[in-house]
Amino acid sequence: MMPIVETRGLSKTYGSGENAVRALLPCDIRFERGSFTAVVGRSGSGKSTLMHLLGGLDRPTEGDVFIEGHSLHSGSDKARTVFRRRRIGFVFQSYNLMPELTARQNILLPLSLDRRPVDEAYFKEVTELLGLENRLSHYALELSGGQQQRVAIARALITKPAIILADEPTGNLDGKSGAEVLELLHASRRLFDQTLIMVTHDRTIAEGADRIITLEDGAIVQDTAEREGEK
Amino acid sequence: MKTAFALGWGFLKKQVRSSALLLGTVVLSAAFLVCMCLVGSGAIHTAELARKNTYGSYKAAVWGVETDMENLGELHSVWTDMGRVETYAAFAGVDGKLHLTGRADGTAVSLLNLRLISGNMPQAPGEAVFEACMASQLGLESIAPGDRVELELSNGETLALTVCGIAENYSAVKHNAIDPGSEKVLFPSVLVFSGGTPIDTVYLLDSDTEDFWTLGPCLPPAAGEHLNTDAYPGGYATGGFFFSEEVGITLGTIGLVGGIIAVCTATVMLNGFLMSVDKRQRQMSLLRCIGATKKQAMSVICAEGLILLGLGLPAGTALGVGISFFAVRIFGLFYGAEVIWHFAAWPIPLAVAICSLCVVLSTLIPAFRAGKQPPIVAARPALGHKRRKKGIGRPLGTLGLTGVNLMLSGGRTLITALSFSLVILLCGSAVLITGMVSDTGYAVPDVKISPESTGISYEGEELEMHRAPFYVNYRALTRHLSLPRELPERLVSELETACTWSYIEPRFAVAVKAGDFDDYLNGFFIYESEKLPVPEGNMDGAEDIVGLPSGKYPYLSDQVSRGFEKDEYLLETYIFSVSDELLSRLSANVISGRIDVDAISRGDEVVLTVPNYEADYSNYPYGQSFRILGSGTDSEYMDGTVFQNTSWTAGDKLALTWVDIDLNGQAHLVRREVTVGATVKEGLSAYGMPGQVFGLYVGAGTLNAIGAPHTIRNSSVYFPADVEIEDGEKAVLSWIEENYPSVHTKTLTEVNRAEQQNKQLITGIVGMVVVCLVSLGTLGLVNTASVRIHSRSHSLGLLRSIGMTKGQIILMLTAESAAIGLGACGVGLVACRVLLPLMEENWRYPALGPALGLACLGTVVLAVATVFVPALQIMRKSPTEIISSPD
Repeated sequence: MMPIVETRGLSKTYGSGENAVRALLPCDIRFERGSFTAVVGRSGSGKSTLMHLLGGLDRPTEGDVFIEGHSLHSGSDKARTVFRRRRIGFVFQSYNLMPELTARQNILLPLSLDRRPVDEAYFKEVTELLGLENRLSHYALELSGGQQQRVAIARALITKPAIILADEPTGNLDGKSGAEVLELLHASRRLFDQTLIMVTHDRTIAEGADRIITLEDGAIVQDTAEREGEK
Repeated sequence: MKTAFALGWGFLKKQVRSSALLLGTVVLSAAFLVCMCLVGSGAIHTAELARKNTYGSYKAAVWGVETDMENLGELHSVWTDMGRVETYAAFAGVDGKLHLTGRADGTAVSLLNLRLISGNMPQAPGEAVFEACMASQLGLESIAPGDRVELELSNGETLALTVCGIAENYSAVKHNAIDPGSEKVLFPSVLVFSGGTPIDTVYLLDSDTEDFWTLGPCLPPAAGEHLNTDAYPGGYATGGFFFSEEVGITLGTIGLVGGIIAVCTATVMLNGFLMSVDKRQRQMSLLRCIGATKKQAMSVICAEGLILLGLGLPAGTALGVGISFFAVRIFGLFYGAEVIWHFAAWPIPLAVAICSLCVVLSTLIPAFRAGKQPPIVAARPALGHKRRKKGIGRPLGTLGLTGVNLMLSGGRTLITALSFSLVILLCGSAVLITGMVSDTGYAVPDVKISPESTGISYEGEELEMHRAPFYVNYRALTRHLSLPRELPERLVSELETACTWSYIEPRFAVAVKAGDFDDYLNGFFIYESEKLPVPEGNMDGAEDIVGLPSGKYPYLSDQVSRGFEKDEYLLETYIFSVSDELLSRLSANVISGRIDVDAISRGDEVVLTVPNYEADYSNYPYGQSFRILGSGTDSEYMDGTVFQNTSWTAGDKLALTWVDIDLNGQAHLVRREVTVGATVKEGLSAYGMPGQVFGLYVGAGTLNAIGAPHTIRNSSVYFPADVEIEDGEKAVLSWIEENYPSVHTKTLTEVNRAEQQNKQLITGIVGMVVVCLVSLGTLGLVNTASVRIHSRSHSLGLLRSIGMTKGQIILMLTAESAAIGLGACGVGLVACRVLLPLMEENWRYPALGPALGLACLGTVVLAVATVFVPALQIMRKSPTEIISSPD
């Protein structure tokens, strides 16, 4: 079966010459549809770089990312952007909401950008799932951290993406909120058959994943999928 | 787009301070632009009213007879084309449109050189002006206005016309007897106006088709010079009219001001938006991260600009209208005359358009920059910072940090500095212009009138051109004039009596029998070259002149064919129509007879000038030289032949002759005899009055009394030496006003005062420009300073947290702003040094240095002052608060 996400020789180097930093060494990874993959490693190991390349936020130095067989980095910036907003949902550690917009506006922003009508039923389903129905008219800064992260998750889900990329989504949350957010992500994954790739420092979270990829100094040092394959 | 506006509005609401400043910029810019435009429209409106009051609502007259007389070399009777005659008046109004209405009297008379003896010009179709000679042609004893006349045309049709006016006769023989090579033409009389030479013919405005021909040829040359007749009657009188020049200057200055305001607006807005985009780098990246394309990200910035426009333009427009009401008063104060506040619709859309264009243009670069934000910056803000290739190795103190900050924001710093440098430049310009105004070269002179200083007449000697201490509108009253056109209610004949002397262009000839044509006459008129004392060898040249048989009277065949006698020479002499007083002054020059003013006025007698003259024919026949000799004057001018009158004396008869054309196109010779009442050895020594051989002096009404057709060409004012002129300019002005009530005259005092007012006007305008720019520039500077500081609140908090004191931070920020201010001063001073000398050669006015110094000081102070408020706001918070507060 074709993987939903595949990298081929993907690598990233920042800077050049003496100041060059090889954030990610060339890697070939395949992510299956509906799977939950945890990407772990120390600070500076290349986890976020991998996530950014997978999401098309950054351009690789070498290699490419294929999502459902479609090359992400070979097209134009516009094509990549449009693809990202339709097929990928991003959840950041620092929520990254638009403070000038309400919760509802933040959630619906990707649809607005795509000029797609709002599926009110789906919107209601997502917001109820995330417990935001009473907070939709509030501005982002008026919400608690957990609520903001839920808004960010709702924003990531509103376009019914095939892939959710979460970069330490619970990193700025307390334990209880973090667990709630995690549960919501899982629920969404199950409900909408989405592929979840999450960067995390939390071993507990990682152990709950279908697969763990460990990065160190930009290289994959361990991939539980390979180990099972070996098995 | 809805999302873009929602985001843009959200951004603007969040950044209250900077948004308010940007909004203020839009409001002020729109206000200043609207104000400037309304002041301009007020000036135009005032000028138009003044011009209408002076010249009436018409600019030029078109009056014609024939629709198809394209080739005026054809000398045929107008009567054959009567069927297409449109005796109607047409005028071009000040609005440039043709109006087919009446009121042709004064303007047409003055412009067309038509001498109405009675009645008026046609006011409606079916009316016509007849020449006086037409009565006899029609078999009537007389013809008068109101008479109904039926004309039988050559085609058998009958044309009924109502006589509305009687004009003097224009049929004449005309040739230049002085220069045998000149063109000579004999013309028939025409119905409405003078035939004359082709250049004098008037073309018709066809009221049916509204076709017309150029107005130029139908005017006396002098009048044509003063009317813009290059195009169709859309041209209008210019010059001597105070306001037209002012309107031009005002409009030009307002255009300049508007342009400067627009540039300043765009600069300030650009700076503001750039800083805003830089501050929201991460947000723009986040948008891109979520899925906004570059274009969508750009549209957010553009939407902000449109929102500011939508809020600022109405407010600015209303404010501008209000300000203009007072600005017009200020202009009037500088101008020394009332400028009417006049609301015109056009300034508002113009100001809106300019302001909108500025705001839109100023958003383009920031929008482009916003669109370029890579989405990765949302996740990695550090990637949004410019990477310097090489860091600064040594430790940085407070001022070192200042330098680094300035370098990092080089572009914005430069824009801000340039905005303020414009202010410096304009301060210098204002001082320079003020200095020019107060320059002693423009001081009003203390004048005193004396006969010698009138510059017009001086008996006994040839006059020099004096600079008249009073500035008479030379188009109305000067040495060489056409008829003044500012006399809409006065007829030409009245004007003639008011003028002291006039040069007459006769439409008749003085006929001299061949036997009476002596050497004295021949030496001047050169009709019989064989009689001339021409140097040997020159006679050959006469044969080369086309059409002139060598040695013979060249006009004989034409003369005969036109109906003139064959044994006469037709002389076109100089004729001057002078006042009774001047006639009396001729008594001093009488050789024979006496000056009888009454007889001359009745048309019974004329004065004949028969001076001695000297002639040089060395260049015959291509050019001859003559010099009038006073009595007892030896020949010293040239070694030529001296001629003296030996035969002409008082009591001799002179025949004035011309040809009239009747209704059937038949020529009829007319002769009138006048008696030479006196012969004089020389004429009057009035400036512009040439010497005459066999010339005539007549009174004001002589030729009319005789019935001889003629045209007044020049009219002049003559101030005899013994005229007592008291009270300087006032006396002259009152004399002119009394005799020429519609003529506009200005003294040199008034002219200079007008020039000063003009420069005061410019100074006032420049002052307003400076105010506008300082206001806009201040807004820009405040905005820049505020955003610069607030955008760095996080880093300032960090500096505080690591030990930088409040004073050190304020010192750093103050130094940055002072550096910007000093940079602006430097650029401004350099601009002054380069540009001011181009405006005025002697630009180093004493006040310039202090003024520029003050401007520079004000710039630096303002730059520093704008930092304090935002800096103190931030410093009130603790370092932790600063760090933890969102950008």
